[in-house]
Amino acid sequence: MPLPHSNMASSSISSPSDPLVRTTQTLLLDSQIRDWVVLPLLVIMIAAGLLRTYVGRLLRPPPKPISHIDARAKSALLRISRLRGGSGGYISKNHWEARRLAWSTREGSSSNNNTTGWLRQEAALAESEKKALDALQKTENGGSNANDPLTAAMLPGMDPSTMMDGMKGNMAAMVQNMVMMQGISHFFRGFVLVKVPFPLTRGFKQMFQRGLFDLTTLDTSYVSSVSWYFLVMFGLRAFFRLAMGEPLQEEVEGNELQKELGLDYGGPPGGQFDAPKVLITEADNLELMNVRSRRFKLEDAEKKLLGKRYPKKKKIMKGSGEDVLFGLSSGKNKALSSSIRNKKKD
Amino acid sequence: MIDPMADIDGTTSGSGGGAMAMDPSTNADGEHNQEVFDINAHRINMKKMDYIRSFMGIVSGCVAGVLGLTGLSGLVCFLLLHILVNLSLLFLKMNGDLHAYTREKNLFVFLIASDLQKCGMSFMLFWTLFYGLVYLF
Repeated sequence: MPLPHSNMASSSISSPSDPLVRTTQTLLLDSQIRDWVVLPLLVIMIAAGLLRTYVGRLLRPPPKPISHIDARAKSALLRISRLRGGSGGYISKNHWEARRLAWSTREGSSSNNNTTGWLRQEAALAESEKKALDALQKTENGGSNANDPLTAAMLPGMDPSTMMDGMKGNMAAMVQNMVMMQGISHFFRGFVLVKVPFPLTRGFKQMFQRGLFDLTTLDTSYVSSVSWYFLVMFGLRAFFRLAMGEPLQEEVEGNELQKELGLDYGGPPGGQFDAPKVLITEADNLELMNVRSRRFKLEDAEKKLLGKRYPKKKKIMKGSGEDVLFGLSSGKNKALSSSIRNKKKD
Repeated sequence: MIDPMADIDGTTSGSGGGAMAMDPSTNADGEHNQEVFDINAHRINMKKMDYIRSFMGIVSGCVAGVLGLTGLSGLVCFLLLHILVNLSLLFLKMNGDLHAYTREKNLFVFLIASDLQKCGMSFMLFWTLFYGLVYLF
């Protein structure tokens, strides 16, 4: 079959005497191929990528409204995690312990004047709010109670609409890719587009020189439009990442799917966020924590500030003036020690 | 370029998020989860590093293409430039303190393995493109 475009005729073979020496073959490609095929393909791909991003941004469902109960509980959880995590070390021991008690005491506990801990109050609040919300919904639904057993039977987190959203995104991407690939291999068939600057084995020939017929002796690194398409498709991702300044569409979809499945919260996948229960658990956990097992960075603050100048065994003389305390009487040290004191008072 | 490494340094960052769901029974040692860790700063660091690497992947592809490298020499050029970029990230932006900024302990993983594939694809594209534009047509 003859090549459909005579542009190819301008190729020159450097070793015409021996057609089997494929590696020394250099094709000189027509610059019109560059102007009308290679660069347009690149532009098409960039445009398609931009289109896909913006359409995806348009079609993206608005984020699910988070109920105020859950939002409140989550911010409470954030506070607890701060106390429990490393930043708890930046307050003093007494403050930490006071917070732990104030947040986690049970009702009727002797230690804190019979007041319930803040977390448990929050949990009770969330419980009552949730009940009120449910009651409200029930009265609103009124007659259409027939739906209720169905929705109740559904697994939490397995909301079909959210599952479908992720699927839809993937499907759209796949359809777009397939259509683009078909179109490109149809419109730009029969060109040797570029030479990839690395050797390929003959196994790739079928794949990368699709659309080029009866060029059995052509070096495999000369590729046709389909492989250029693939190269551009994968290679432009980094470019888009730079151009968009935000994660790519497919990555966003993946993240959303993860969020839906509850993976980012560390909870069990598919589990629904149950505010009262989580709060109670956190309160119990906090109650079990022991202040003695924790390190407080505030206690080491002086040591860190003074470094080597920190006096070794002068702590016994505490209270008899800063000159004695630090064993040194230079003005700089005085200033330092007074600043430390101020810090400690805070 | 903005300094990509926000204050994730364990000694200066004040607002640590900590891990959300951590079993309190395991923190009897207290050492393991008392690390101050700001997840947002970490995310920003990762994003900035990703930017730099993508950009340098593209640029190194152009370099290799314009220089007319083919075959193995192009691959070597890519690996060298990738490592060079990561090293300069490490020493110019992170002051050589890898763990404080990325929580990555393994130097090898940081230098070689991270984002190699993503960079490699864009490198290949721009390598091919510029090689073609300069030498082929």
